[in-house]
Amino acid sequence: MLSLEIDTLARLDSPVHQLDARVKLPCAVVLIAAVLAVPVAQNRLLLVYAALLVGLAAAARLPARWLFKRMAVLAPFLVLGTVAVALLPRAEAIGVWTSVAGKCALALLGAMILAGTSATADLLRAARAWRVPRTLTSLTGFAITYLAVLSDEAGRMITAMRSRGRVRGMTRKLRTWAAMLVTLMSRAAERADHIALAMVSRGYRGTMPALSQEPVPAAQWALAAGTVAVAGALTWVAMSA
Amino acid sequence: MGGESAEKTGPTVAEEVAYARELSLGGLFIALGIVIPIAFHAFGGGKLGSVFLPMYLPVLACAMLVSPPIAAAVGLLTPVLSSALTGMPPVLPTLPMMVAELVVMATLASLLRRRLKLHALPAVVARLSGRVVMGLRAWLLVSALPLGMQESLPAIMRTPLTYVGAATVSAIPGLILQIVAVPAVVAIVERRRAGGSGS
Repeated sequence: MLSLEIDTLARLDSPVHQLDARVKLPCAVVLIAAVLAVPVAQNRLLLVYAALLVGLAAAARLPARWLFKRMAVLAPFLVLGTVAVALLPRAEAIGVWTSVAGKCALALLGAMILAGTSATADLLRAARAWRVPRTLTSLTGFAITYLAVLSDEAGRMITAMRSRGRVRGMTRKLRTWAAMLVTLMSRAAERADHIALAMVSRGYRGTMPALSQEPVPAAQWALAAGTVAVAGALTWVAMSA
Repeated sequence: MGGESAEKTGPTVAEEVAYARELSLGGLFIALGIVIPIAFHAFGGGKLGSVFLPMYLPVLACAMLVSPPIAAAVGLLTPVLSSALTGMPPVLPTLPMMVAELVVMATLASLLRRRLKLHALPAVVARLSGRVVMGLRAWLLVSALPLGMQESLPAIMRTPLTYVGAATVSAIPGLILQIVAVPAVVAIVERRRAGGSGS
């Protein structure tokens, strides 16, 4: 029923893909924070960040079609905002809107580059290494792992429902949907109990026993420091101008 | 003495199982929060989403089975992951609004269930609290706009109370579905767990 493209691009080979997720994650966060910190009066600086991020996407060999498809989620917001600003042709409104739209697009592009060049498991490990609350990373890990299984189960139930014939009337529809959802959710809860027992029997003691991770090469940390320095310098220029 | 202090420092096996159970339940229900809206869209052609509010169902059911911090995390992650993986809800402006609504709703449902041992009422109260959050964020959004832009908005969006009223009336079938389905799921899961621990 559900065809999600998870980790399809993470297996590509590029210099950006080869960077450790523990380096890429803080770099992406710093770049996005720097983009968001650009004052409205310095909108031209967004072009510098745009060039930097487009260069990164090109270096990562991410397909333009994939990027555009993902960026399309912003389209309704951008169109609505542009129409609203067009109704108010004031210079300050246009400046503010350019800043908001540009920052949203660049922040999303930064996140897309990170997601397209790292496997989900690596990103979750990196998040744990950077002390993101373990509850959030564990829940995300479970959700992504079992998404396909639950999607198949829901698909089978919908096929069965369809094969029993069309249901007419809102009350009957509600009853049918409620029965299907109750079954789906109670089965998921039962599966969750089995998973929890399996986790504990495999050594889960608040955290799963993890294999030791390789240390990040010094050159990659230097690259991260360079990114932070560039973003910091650009932000300082923007603030002091 | 030493044995007592060692016991106090680490969680017991039962606590570890309970925490692992809450985590796995939360994770699976987040996945359901992504799958069920897609099923509704596939079946109802996109119109059923705003009527049945399918993402709220697993979040609310999960919130009534787990502790408040996990419930809040489920409320936070479900719309965020759904938006990242499927593009629904859109990042702006819907996602931040849904996150606020679901976090408040899930935390309140979990608290009401744990502290007051209520069955169907937490679903209703949490749902209503979600609508209050919706009204507040609509008011905040509208008041953040410049005066000229506020005037160009449709009349229904300028008065948050009317906007929330209209959104609530259109979602009445979803509210009924929640009142019917959520307590049923909670009862089934708790009955099965009680049977399992008793055997």
